[in-house]
Amino acid sequence: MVLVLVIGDIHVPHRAHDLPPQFKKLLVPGKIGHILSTGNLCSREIYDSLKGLASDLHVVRGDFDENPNFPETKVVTLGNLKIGLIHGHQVVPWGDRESLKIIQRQLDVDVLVSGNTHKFEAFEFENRLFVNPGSATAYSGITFDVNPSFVLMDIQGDTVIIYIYQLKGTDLKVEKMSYQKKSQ
Amino acid sequence: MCSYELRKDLFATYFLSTDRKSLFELALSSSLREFPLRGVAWKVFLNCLDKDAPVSKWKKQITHNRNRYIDFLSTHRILPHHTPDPQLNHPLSHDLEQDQNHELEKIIDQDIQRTYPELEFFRSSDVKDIMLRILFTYAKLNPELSYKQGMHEVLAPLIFILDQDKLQEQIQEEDECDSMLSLLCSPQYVEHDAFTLFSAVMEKIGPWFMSGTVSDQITEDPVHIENLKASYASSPIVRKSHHIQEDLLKNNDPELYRHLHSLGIEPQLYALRWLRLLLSREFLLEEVLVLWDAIFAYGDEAAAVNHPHMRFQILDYICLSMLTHIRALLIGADYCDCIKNLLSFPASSVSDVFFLVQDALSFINHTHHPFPSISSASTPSSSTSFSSPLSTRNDKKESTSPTDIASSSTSPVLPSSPRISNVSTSSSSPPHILQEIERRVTQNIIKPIANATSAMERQMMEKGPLFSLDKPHHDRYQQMYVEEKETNQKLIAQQTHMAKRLDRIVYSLQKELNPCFTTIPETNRDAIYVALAELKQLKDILSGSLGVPPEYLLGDSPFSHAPASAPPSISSSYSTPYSSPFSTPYSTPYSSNSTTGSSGSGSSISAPSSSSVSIPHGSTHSSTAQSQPPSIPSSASASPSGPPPAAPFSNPLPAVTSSLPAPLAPTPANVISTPASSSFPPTFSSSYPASVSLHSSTIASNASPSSSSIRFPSPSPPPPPPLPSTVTYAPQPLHFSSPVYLPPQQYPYTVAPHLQNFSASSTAGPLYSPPNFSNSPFPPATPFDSSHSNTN
Repeated sequence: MVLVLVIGDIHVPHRAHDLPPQFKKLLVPGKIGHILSTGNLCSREIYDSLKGLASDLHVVRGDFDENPNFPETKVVTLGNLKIGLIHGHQVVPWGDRESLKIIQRQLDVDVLVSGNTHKFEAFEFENRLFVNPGSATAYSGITFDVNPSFVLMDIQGDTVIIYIYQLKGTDLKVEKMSYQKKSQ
Repeated sequence: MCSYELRKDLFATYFLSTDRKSLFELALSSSLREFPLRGVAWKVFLNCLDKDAPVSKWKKQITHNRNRYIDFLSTHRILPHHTPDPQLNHPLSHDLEQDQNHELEKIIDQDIQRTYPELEFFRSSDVKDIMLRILFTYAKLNPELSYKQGMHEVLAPLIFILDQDKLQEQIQEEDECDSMLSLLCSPQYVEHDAFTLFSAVMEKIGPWFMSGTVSDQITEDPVHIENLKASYASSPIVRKSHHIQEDLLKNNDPELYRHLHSLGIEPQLYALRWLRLLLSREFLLEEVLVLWDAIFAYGDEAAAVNHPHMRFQILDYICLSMLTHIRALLIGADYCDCIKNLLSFPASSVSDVFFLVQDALSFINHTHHPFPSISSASTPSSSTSFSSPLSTRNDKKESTSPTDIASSSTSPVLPSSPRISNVSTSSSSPPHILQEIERRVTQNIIKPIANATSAMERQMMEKGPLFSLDKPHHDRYQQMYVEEKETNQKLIAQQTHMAKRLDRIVYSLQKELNPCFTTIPETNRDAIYVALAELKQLKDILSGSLGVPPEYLLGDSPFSHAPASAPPSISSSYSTPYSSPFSTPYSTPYSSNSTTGSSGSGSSISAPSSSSVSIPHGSTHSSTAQSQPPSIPSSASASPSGPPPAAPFSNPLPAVTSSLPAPLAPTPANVISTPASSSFPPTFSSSYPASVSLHSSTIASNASPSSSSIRFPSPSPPPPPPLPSTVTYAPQPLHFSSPVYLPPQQYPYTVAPHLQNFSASSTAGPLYSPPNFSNSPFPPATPFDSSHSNTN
């Protein structure tokens, strides 16, 4: 049971003080194996706290990140899946399926994780999985209809079970979906 | 699996009527071994089925218990991770109770995996799941006790019993008996009934698992320490273990109690496991079931309801009888050996747990016989374990009739002793006299005892399953047992007496022979030594420090065959010099023999006896500078190598050069090392030429401090290094304790390469170093060694 936390667009301290308390209660060290962060952590402290959650932390550079040394993209292999990581501000238009597909082909990954839209999305497009964990602190410059969210992926071989944690109001909602890589 | 008809009959006999006392009595006399409805019996004993109520009431009771378990199961769901709703069951959820449950489940599972790994039954995943559910449910229902390690061991035999009990196939329900049986033994409810039984047992012994956290806390504060001690002392299990040692043991076996007390052995060290697990880890499963029959059937007295340390009272007495069974092992041992024996109880020293139960009952009724005192030695050799082989041996035998054995063993031995003392003054032809002595001793002592013991053994083995005996037979059996014990005590006393007198005979013989030693021709001298050694062996057997080799029980006297060529072969065999560390001084008188006799032995190699194999080795021995003390190290080697060629001999005993060495000679894999002061050293290795071993045996026996003060023409000998005080035989009808482990460094001798094949296969590890022809590793020579050309 390889647990991978996918989180991003936290924007601390610029747009929010901290992660929501309900999320902080869930995110305790010990259970999570890897963290894939889409970027825009924006501060060293958040980076350190994520590092404390799990030692295997992968961060890509977002447009507001203070640390210029994060890479633009990253490819990580977990289980039998190759997972690509990109912040998403490079993808124009933001969140567009076809553009994301181009990135996926370029990186040659089975799962593409991107962010920037601050809106959760997870879909399977042409046999590949695209995950957008949304924003963990839920600020959006586009719309008011945002909920803080993050994603937990349980990777077992070729299968991913995705748990989506969303904060609607003050209630934590957990949803689940799954994806299986089809061998071509 | 026995037939349904039989089950029905048994059920009708023992369970139908409301008076179920016969069942309890069967349990206490260990007769429920093959009982097919043991589970039902246990339910009755533990009050899950009311023992005074008619069978019709049982239906209500048992269905009530089963439904209760089903309810418990549903409320305390054990595997919450299986709910599909992600809201409740997502990986990051850390519901505190769920976490605790998960932890508990892991702990229980760990223990379950280790339950009875040797039994197929417990490896099946169904059984493991059942155990997990039962233990989990019990832990959730009793949060203050929760699950403690060891509960799985208590549960395992219960499940085993109920599984044995269950009906394999559907039966036609024709009458009440059938319907009750099918209800009680229905296979779907094994788990439920196991839970009920387990809860009933835990209700009684649950408090024994509570140690509190006192032992975990480390503190320096003296007041706190006193409080800890006080609270610890009040813990029921500690109280119970102290009761066993301080009260029961002190009153019934003060000698053992004093010894344990002097060593400072705390009772809860060993008793904790015995009591908590109800002895399930000390014996094999089938023996544990017999013990539990008795424990459950005996029950508790009324006062035990409020006093957890008084529950299952017979368990205290069974522990006491376990202690007294190995008293001989414990009394002679130091702290380490005592602890070893107590913590891993040598179940092999108890041939049948039936005797433990009987002893316990006799302790309870104060009818137990007092124990022979061990520390005051009855023989000069002060062997510490002398009584154990005899007492254990005799305890386990049933007698044909007490009178037979008593009469046969009282045949006089000692009229020959005056004759012997007369004889010793004359030095004419001693070998004949000695042979005469042997014959008389054998006839009068060894043979009848051997016959008696073998008869008793045969009787024992003829006994079949006992549960089919009815009550009058049981009473008679019990009475016979008690009578038999008395007779055995008498036998032991007689044998001890005979041993003492034999010892005196041997001593006086040696004393008389000593001055005229040099005048006796060599061949005769050797025969005398051999005979003396033989007598000493007899004495040791009688006194119990040596066990009776199996071949003695075969019928004919082992001494009856005497090859005509005995003297020459013996002398040739004795030509082997050996300079073992502890017999260096003794090698001196023979060193001259060796140098002169080696050539002679070389020529006499083709002795007609079977020592034809041994002799060549013997002669080559003489050619090597270092040869070995065959007896003791060869015994250490415990080599299972085949017996020396027995071809020339038709008798069943292993081949040997003369009549005397026969019983001493290689019985394969026989290892003896008697207690330090025993006068008869181990000679029972098959790896060495029998004659050589005999030679050394004589020497070493002369070296033993206990017995004679035989005078060689050499200064007084230092005693041989003390041998470990355990005795091992394999295979045998007698039981001894742990095997021999001889520390290698005691025997830094060398062995000729051509002999290494014989002695190599040893369980005691390599004790031999390659032959060292250059320097003697042995202590510097005494003045008398100057004549010995082989030592440096």
